Amino acid sequence: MKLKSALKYRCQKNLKLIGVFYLALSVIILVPFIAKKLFSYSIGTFEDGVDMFYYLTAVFSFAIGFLSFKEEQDFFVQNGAIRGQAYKSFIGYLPVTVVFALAERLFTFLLCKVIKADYSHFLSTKAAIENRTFIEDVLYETLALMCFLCLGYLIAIIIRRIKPIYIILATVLISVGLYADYLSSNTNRMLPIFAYVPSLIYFGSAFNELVPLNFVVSHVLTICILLSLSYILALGMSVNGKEKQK
Amino acid sequence: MNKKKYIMPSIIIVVSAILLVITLVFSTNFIFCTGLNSFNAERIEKSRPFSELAYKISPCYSNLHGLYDTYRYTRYYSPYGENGISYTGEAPEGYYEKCAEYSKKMYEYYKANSEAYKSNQNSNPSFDVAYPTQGIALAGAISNYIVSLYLDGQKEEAQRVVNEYVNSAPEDESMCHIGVSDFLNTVHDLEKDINYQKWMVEIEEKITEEYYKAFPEKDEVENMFTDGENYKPFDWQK
Repeated sequence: MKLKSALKYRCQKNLKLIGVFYLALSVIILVPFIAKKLFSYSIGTFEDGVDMFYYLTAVFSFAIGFLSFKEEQDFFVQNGAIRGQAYKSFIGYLPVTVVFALAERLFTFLLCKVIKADYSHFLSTKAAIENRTFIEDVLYETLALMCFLCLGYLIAIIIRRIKPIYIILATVLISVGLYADYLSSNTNRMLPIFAYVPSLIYFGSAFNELVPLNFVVSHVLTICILLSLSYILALGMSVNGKEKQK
Repeated sequence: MNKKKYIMPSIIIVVSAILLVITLVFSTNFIFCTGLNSFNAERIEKSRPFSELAYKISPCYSNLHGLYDTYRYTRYYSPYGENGISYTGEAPEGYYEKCAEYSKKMYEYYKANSEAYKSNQNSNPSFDVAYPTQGIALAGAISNYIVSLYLDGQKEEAQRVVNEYVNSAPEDESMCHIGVSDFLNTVHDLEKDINYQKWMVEIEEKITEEYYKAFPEKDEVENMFTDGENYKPFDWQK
């Protein structure tokens, strides 16, 4: 299977999923609209609520990334594609998030119109505060969605690589850790690891000068890390449990 | 297994991770949040060296904000009772001095960047909650600054700063006096010096007057904290 065919297959396969997803989003928009028309139902405004499509799209991107790897397992190698080609076709598939980002802006705009929100234009609420342009906003969102896509792909590989018993063990350990941390937070006893590991949280604020380049660079670097990790973990791993040779 | 295949992606991971940290620490658009949860005093205490290191490497807004958030007088002295963000013990040596130092810097930043607030005012009222006006931001910084000075024993310096602040506060931002109100509310029970108490009442009357000017229609603007001339320190022994 050639790279072009692999990419084409991936797009065709996901087209149905994307269709179902946006159909569901349309229903989310239409339900309050119909309720308003038929039952004179008062919807009110929820200004910050209009960002919900972004979160839904992020979850959807993650799911697409997760399923992408499963498709490779089920279909690609059976049709003669080697893992390298499947991996490259996934990288080639990443720009699809531009469509997700544009569709998300469009759906948010439609929802704003339906619920007659105070705030209704193509920019996200965060973008409006930070005086971003439309192109910047879509670029930021595309990069963020790419990260989610890659994360889904990586997690699918991890789940496939690691034995189920280790996954259960890791889940239990993480749960116990979080629970212990939760218990300790009120009594000043805590797991040292949670205290000493600093977190890097990004958010623009009203009194913060914007550095769009930093946002782009950090997201591109995150994507590089996720893809490289996926590549390393997928190396030496075949679809049907046997090592494939070129 | 061909080990050469691992070399390139491994290099990409290491280089990207290093660049990512550098990008975030040196960027003013990112908050280097070492506290994980700023409402947990223990975490803040343990992660303080990271904040200081980040500020030392790059003294930008985001790192200063991290330290400003970390060094609050309320961590050790909470007049409103114990809560999740406060310790019960004594503050370490030089703690309040650092509180004053960083909040002073933050105050100066807010004062110098007044245009940043005005340009970000949005027609949506819900934004005002998350993104405070300049007056509120100044009030937060000045409150931490002067109370920290007082708790550090620099009472005269706190007095000088308050006088200077009250006289130079922007006229269109009367909300910035909340910081001084907060100072009076916090320290008036601690102060035993009669002259200092008198000065506090004078300041309170002055800012109350400012409030009346700013909100002439509001009846609830009263001598909010110290009851003006009837002020009496609260007797804890009762």
